Amino acid sequence: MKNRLKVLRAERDWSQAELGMRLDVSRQAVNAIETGKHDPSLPLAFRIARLFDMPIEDIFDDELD
Amino acid sequence: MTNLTDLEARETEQASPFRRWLGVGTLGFILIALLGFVTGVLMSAAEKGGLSMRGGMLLMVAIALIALCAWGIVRLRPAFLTGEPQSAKTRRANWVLVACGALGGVIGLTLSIAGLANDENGVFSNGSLSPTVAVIVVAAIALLVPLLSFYWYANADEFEKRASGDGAIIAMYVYSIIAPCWWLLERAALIPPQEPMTVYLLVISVWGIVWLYRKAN
Repeated sequence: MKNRLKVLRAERDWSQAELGMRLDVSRQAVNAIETGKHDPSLPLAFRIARLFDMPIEDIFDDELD
Repeated sequence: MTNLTDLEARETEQASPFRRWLGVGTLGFILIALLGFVTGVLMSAAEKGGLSMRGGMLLMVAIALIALCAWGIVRLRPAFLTGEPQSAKTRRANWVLVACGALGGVIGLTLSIAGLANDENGVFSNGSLSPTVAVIVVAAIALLVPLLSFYWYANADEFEKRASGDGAIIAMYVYSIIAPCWWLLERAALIPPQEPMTVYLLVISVWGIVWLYRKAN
């Protein structure tokens, strides 16, 4: 699943480790989500959306449309 | 705001922990084997009342290799030991893995020393073992492994759990093939009797390799 996590992170000048700390996951987990190798669970997707104060669909794109 | 290209360049090196963990694991294994070797040489020297020239040279080479392995482990140590920011849960989960490695090392060293006392060679020997040592090691495995596993599972994030779970499933498939095939071939007298520790090592190695691979891919 495509996502804008890296762009949103760069806008805030956060490293993957810093974002991981804010989301309570590892740096590797952030990297896997950013690169589309891991689709986050619904609870984690909501945590990401709340952190960036955006709707989930503005961050993640399931490419079905 | 950071430039995306700069950000990607900065984080490319950190992106794949696979080689790093594989390096640490391999060096750790060699380190434990060398420590066992040094213990054996020293115990043999103590029994014979001295160290031969060849023994002394082998000891020096082994100590140099131990220092080299230790240096390599420090150089390759996982990023979480270098002070990168991480949440309390992630830190706890990572330290459980370190504790598991340390427990394996202590058990391996204990079995090496206990085996040497009975003139047995190697950590995975099938030779006789002192009942005291056996009970202590079994108690350590039976009590600590479930506790550490439960604590790790309570603290690891979903990505880590998925990588570990994928490794466990493939390892289970490997076991479900190896165990009956070996049993059948053994009954047909085509191969030697089944070695529980060989099967265990194969299964656990597959689990670990797939776990690391899934973390990196």
